[in-house]
Amino acid sequence: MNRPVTLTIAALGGQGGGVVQEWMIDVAEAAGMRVQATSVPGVAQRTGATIYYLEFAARDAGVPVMALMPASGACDLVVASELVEAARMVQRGFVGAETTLVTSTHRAYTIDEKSHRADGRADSAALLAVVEEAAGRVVPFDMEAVAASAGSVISAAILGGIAASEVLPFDVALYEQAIERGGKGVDASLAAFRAAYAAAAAPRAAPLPEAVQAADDAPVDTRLASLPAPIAAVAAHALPRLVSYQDEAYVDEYLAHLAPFAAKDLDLGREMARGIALWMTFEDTIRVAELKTAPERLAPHVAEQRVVHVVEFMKPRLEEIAGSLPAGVGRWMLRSKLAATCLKPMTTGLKIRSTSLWGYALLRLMASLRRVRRSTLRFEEEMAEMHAWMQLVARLAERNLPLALAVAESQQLVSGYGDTHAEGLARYKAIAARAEALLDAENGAEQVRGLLADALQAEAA
Amino acid sequence: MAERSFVSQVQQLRLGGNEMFQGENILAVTKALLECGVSYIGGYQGAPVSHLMDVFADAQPLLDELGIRFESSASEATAAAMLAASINYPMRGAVTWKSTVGTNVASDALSNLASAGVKGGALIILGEDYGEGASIMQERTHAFAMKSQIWLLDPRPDQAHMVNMVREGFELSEASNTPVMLMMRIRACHMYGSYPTQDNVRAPFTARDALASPERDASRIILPPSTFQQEQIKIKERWPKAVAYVRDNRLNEVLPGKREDVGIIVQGGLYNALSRALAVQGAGDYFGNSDVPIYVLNVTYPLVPDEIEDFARGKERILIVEEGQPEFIEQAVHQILRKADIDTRVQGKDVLPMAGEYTTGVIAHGVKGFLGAAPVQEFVPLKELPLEQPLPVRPSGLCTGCPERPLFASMKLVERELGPQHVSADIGCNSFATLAPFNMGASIMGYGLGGASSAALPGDGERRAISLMGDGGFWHNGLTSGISNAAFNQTDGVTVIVDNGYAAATGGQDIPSSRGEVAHRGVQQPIERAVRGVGIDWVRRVHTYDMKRTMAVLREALTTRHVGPKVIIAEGECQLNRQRRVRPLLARDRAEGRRVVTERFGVDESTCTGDHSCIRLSGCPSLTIRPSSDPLRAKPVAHVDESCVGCGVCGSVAHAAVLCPSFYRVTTVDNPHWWERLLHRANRAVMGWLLRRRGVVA
Repeated sequence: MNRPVTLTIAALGGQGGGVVQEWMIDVAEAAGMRVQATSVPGVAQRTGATIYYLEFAARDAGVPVMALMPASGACDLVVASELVEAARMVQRGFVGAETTLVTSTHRAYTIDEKSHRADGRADSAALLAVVEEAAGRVVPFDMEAVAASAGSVISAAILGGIAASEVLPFDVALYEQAIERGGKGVDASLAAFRAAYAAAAAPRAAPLPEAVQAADDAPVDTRLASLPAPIAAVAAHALPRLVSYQDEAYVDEYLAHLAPFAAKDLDLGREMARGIALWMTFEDTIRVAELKTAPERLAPHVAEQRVVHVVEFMKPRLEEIAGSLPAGVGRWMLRSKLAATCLKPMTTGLKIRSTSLWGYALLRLMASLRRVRRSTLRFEEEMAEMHAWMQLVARLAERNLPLALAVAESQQLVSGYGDTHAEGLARYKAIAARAEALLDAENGAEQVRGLLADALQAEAA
Repeated sequence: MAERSFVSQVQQLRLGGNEMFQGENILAVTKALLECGVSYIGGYQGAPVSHLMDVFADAQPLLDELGIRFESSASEATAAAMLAASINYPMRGAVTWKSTVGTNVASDALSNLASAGVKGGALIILGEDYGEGASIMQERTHAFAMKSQIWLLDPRPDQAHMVNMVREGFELSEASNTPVMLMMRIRACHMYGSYPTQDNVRAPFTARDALASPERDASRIILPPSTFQQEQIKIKERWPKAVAYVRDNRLNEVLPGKREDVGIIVQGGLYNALSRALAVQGAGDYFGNSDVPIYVLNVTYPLVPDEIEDFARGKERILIVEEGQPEFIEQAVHQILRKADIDTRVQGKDVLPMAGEYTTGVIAHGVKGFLGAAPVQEFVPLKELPLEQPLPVRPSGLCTGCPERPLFASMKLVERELGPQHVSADIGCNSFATLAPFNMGASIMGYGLGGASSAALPGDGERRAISLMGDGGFWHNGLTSGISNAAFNQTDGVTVIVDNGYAAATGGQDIPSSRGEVAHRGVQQPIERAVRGVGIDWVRRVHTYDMKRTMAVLREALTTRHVGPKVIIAEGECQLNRQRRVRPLLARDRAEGRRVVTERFGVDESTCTGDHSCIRLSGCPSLTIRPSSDPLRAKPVAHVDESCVGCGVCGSVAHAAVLCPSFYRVTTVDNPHWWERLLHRANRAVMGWLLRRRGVVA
């Protein structure tokens, strides 16, 4: 070739892209090749995206004039340590037919994706499709998983991917020697390098990040026999949750709530099967105490030989404490100045050591209130809201089925704890109020979905 | 310096004659200063020239051997003023900073320096922060060269060549009695290369010599009538001498090409990108051979009219490849050719964009337009991707465990209580508060100017503006421009000084208030004392991780009846530096059997409802999301990944904002006390029994 071979590494600040660059310089010099390299760290070091660029040329080929950045049409090997960054390389024109693209399939979510109130994640399958369309060859594997399994960091996995791509004329041994000469965390880095080499050489196996680990289908309960199969599939997940939340009778209540919707429409039935189950198992203090003391959760920590303890961060407001008590008492408590004063210490934030006898006992005591849950203030309030929602959906379903489905979906705004829960409920109620007025509007469902999408944005009003 | 060591780089500085230096260009330039026999070096850190300062800060023994005075200057103005030593004495001096921001700060001293003129070579190494990776407003250093008559070098980014231009820079400075700026772009600074070294040279004239026989020349003082004479001398003497030196020593290069009809004039720093662009367009190769003759301006100011005339004469068209705006060089070339009656057509910003970085892609597009007959389309930097949603952007943000995160979370929570606030932001890591998820801060006016930028917005008894300032900015100028100014003018408002112990944004350099023991530097100066010293009575110190108190103090500052300036010093050590400092100590303690407590945070998936309110108040990189394993929930749940450093801010936020009970902390004690072990064993036995009763073996 009458030009240098080029390597572009798209990494995130803190992933050790600079270390990979140092290793590659070492590899090339050991192989007797000319190497030139540059990077743009700067503020990108603070968690932003950053690019490292290297060129390699044979010593007898003359001295190339180094380009200080990748150029479209001359990008032989591009390595992205994260999937969105791989797509960004395509966007910036650094991936062409001549390019072998080694990319990690894992995602480091951006702040906008993370702050979304529901699911703001980019579609990994679409990203991978973009990359595969643009590049001559793609070598995808999960660099993060490989690095973690080897007890190392992603930089060594990047190097493994570079070696396995075989685009650069270097022997594998040279890469390993470069790691050894680097002298820091050599064993872990070598392990990660080799694991990455193997993963990159093997066909793609890793699932994409947002693919939900499909739970095994729950055993079919005879009580679900009367439901259409798609609805029963959702309800099957709800049943064990309802039992662990309250009792068997609670399941019957659930099925009674669900029945009219299941009879009405398949999509609506499925959405309601999910929504009713989640609302009926709203997270009150009793539920939280139950989940925090789940034996499966605590056992691994308790089994530790080393001195390990788990501390839970809880901050019940007066509303949560009052909500856990019989409705009459709870209501009095919310009105009473005396109660507020007495309970103040409990509302300033609790740190409970759930792996210690005392913390555990306290939480179990809380969880045991399950027996009286049906009489608590919070239960009364939540069920009133839930019934109002179900009635609204039922009413809408009579005249405008798509609108009813959209309102059923809007229930997802009601989640979280404390102020977040209150805010979500308020947002849901605003949509519900609007939905009533849209009963006869042809695009009512669209309008509601638009409102829902807005309400789910991080900084929505 | 601070918590990082540059010992291996310092070793490189010791290389002698005919050895091979290998490393980044900025370090090569650093080494070149020593080969030029400088007497003193100063500067202010900032990307991309922090490295020069960091390495010298670690090289005191070597500097002592060579008799060099090195200062970590308080600001760029300080550094520029340091060059005053070269006005009266034959001392070579070099200073460095980030440009154009640093040049702005330094410009008062630079103007006076340029007017007075220098006897000893004065070189200013500028890290040109333009284009990708830049953190500042986009302007050109070129304007400073023009207005002050300081010569501007923009060398071709080949390491040996750059090093040579450092040497030439000093010679040019002395030949023309004028300070010289040497500009290095970001990528050129970080470019890895090699060059044959020379022996370091001990400064022939040092501070000691100067103080032993002080000199004074009235004609070099900046007062009339000298100033009027100095302006005449600049134009009549120094400029012609400079042009002659540049021409006689061939600092600019003409690279041949077979085309006789066209030619390209390029700023030296852009030569590599141009060369690659020509190769990509098939008008050259990858080894610097080009069909089109190229005139490389390693000196972009002053221009050498003869050379430009010679290059243009006989050509139909020439292209000027000049980054940034306005197009000073293009204008000057037009003028030179017009005066010489040469009718070669000059192209530049007609085929290349007026503004923005000249990447290889941009230049290739422009060259295509210049060489081809096709009409020029506008360059489209980004391809459209077949995605339904735009590709997520990835802005910079605060690091994992950053102590500024709980401060901004507290400010945000207080804002929820008291209503929207005007926040004047500043330069430094704290400027990331203006980005998601905090989205706080209405303006950034310059380093340390957060306080000053609220000056026109005094409180009215009901509402108060908040000004942010980092500790770096505070010592840089904020103490006078913001704090003392507010005290003097009795401005009602709240200034929050973020005291993380270092100039963190520029790489963790020490500052006067750094806590550690630092050799050769006077540190451990409390910010509070300085603040009180300029007349502020209302001063509170808070620890940022104590969000409850931080919020209480913010609330108090914003609502108190006390009229006048209020200063909150928000303390919390920079986590990057803390980790550098603490990690080796912990590893040693653990290995030597001393008690070590490790804390990590986690989110309980079973109680997380996926509303992400915790993320909206934190933005910690280690606090992320992952798919919920609950088939009834479509929303991803929060999750703390492996990078968690256990700072505890997510738990504090959950407490302060009453978010949710999902956060937990796992504390591990290595080498526990005997009684801890005993208690632990007893607890394990009881807890194991309790859990077994519920059907799980622990």
